[in-house]
Amino acid sequence: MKILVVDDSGVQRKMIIQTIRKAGFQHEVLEAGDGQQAIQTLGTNFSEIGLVLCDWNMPNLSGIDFVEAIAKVPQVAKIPVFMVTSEGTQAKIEEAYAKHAGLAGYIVKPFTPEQLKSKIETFLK
Amino acid sequence: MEPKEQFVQALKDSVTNTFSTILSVLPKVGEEQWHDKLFGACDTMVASVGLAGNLSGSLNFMIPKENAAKLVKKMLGSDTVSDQDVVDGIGEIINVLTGGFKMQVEREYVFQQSIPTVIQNAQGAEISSVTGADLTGVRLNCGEFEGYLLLSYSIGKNVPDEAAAPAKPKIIPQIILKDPKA
Repeated sequence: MKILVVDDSGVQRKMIIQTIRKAGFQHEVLEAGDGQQAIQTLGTNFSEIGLVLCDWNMPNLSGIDFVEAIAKVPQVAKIPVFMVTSEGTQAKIEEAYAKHAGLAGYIVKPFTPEQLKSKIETFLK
Repeated sequence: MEPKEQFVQALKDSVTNTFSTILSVLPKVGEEQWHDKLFGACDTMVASVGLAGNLSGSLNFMIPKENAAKLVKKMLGSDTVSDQDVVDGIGEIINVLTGGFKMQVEREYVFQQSIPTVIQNAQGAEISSVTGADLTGVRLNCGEFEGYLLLSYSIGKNVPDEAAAPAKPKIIPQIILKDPKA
């Protein structure tokens, strides 16, 4: 199983990967810097990706547009997807679930490694 | 509470939450006159996020470049960071600070935030508001580094109503599944 981490900040991707490794998980991590890259990566690796962590505000194609695209394709719609974003208002959370009702969770930045781990570890075991 | 007072409190809360969560450091956050307290001739980085809505303007995080590198090293738990890491890290900090600020004022203000822009090598940088806009901010000190979070803003009269001016239909690219065995 692979994990897809989508965030335009290389530092944020590194911090998420560090958390995954420190939690003891050695899954291969694929990285994408925007929604457009994420669409390509998911399309090529869809059968192996078991978890997606996705930022909201990104250049080219936003995370929420990528998540909407996931929801429209039955073969990938069941992959657990977490929004990992600084957009924490109630309106944004509701918008995310409206775009993808099957969203596995919504993680608001900033978060501690422990908070991230507790949200995603169920999906990594 | 006056808007300016509310914004300063929201900035303070966002700074405290962001730095205590990401870096496990409780920053000292003060409201000070910044015009004569910026970083003199040292290299300064400025990370900005644009705001558009019934609160518009920009939120700007200013920090000496040397301190920015220290901050990003602490974020990554690493002794060395690349220049690109520093840019990405400071961009991520203003992104998170903006999200925190937005959550504090969401009852009264609805606005979109842009992706961050980071300006490097700004010597003696100072931010001034243009006519019709106001400026407020806070100074933060985490011991090893200090910086300023400045809000340049203008308050609109109405909450933006997207229904009144519907956005153009967005074309979402389709995910094309490629059989790995093909």
